[in-house]
Amino acid sequence: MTFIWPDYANLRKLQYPVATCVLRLLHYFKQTTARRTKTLITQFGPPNHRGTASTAKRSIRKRIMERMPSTESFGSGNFGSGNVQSFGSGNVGCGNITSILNSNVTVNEIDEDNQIKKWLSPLMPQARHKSVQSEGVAGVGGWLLEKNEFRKWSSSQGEPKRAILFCYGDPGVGKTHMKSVRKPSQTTGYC
Amino acid sequence: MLTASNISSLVIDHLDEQVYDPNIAVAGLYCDYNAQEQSTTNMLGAILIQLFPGDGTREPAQQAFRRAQLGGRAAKLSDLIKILKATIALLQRVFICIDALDECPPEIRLELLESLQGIVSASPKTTRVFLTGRPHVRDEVTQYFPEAMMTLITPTPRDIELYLEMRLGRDPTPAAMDEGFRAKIMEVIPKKISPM
Repeated sequence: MTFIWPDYANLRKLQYPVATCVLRLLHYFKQTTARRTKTLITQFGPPNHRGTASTAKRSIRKRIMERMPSTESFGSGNFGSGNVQSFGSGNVGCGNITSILNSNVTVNEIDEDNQIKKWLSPLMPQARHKSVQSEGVAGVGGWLLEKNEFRKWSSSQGEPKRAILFCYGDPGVGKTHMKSVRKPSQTTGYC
Repeated sequence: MLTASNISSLVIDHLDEQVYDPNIAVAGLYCDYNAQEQSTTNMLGAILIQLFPGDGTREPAQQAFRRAQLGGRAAKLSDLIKILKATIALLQRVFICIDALDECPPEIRLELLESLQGIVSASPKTTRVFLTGRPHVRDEVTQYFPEAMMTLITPTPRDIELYLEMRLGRDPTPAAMDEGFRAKIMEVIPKKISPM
């Protein structure tokens, strides 16, 4: 028999007929444990398996973990609904998903939350925030937080008129001026 | 030494420190000339993600994601605006801080301001928007938000002193420095720079 592994690209295509898979899942869990184990062994077990169900499960788990896509690569890529058929027959596909679920590799592993975040935006404002934060000098600009406009903006509740605060200025003001004072004997500036 | 980004990061940190309630969210975003993926949709998406710690705030995005066939279909701007409005409606207060509007290409900037206008008008009592940018962006901001409050960012003498102290502390050639010169720097530079 041939083994069709649930590799990443195929898994994504499979997400399309979710309703079908859910029905199959329900059907799957109605079966007895012994029968489920048997399905697992035929799907993922080593070829010509002769050991016990538990040794088969261990090897299955290991092999599934090796094959699982990292969540990093999730979320991008094309969604070709026309290619659903390319993953063997649809039946085998759903069988593989049920096997994954049964072997303690939960949907969590696939992590819908991360997929949603990737779907929403590739931008990482936190990274930029950290680098700006590290460049800042403690106390510099602190006056803004004491300013009337800022206080009104941040503390007003339910006042649509104070919803927006725009701070404008030329960036980097000061740097050029810093170079203007130099000790006569010295060639290096202070900025 | 005192850039708009410094101010934005200061404001974001300040708001973050004050907020303990998960129903109050602070979202920060830095516009960047170099960012390849800077579209209005991505920018609003990045803001939305930061609202997720609030109770149940993932749900509007989750539903839209599932409707988009589990993310197979790209998120559209109109979707994003709808999700953001629905998410903000679940929260008590939302602070959105966007830095350096001038670093956005003009067409994206206008689209972003227009989207923000829609979002703010949907929940004007909840949403607070903090924007920074060069002076030339001012007219655009006023165009979408006629009642926006405006503040000029310019270093105060105290800012300059703090900055100089930090720089002098990191002087790579401390032997070349003497007290007289140090005092001269601390006296002359702040006067020269600060218009205040």
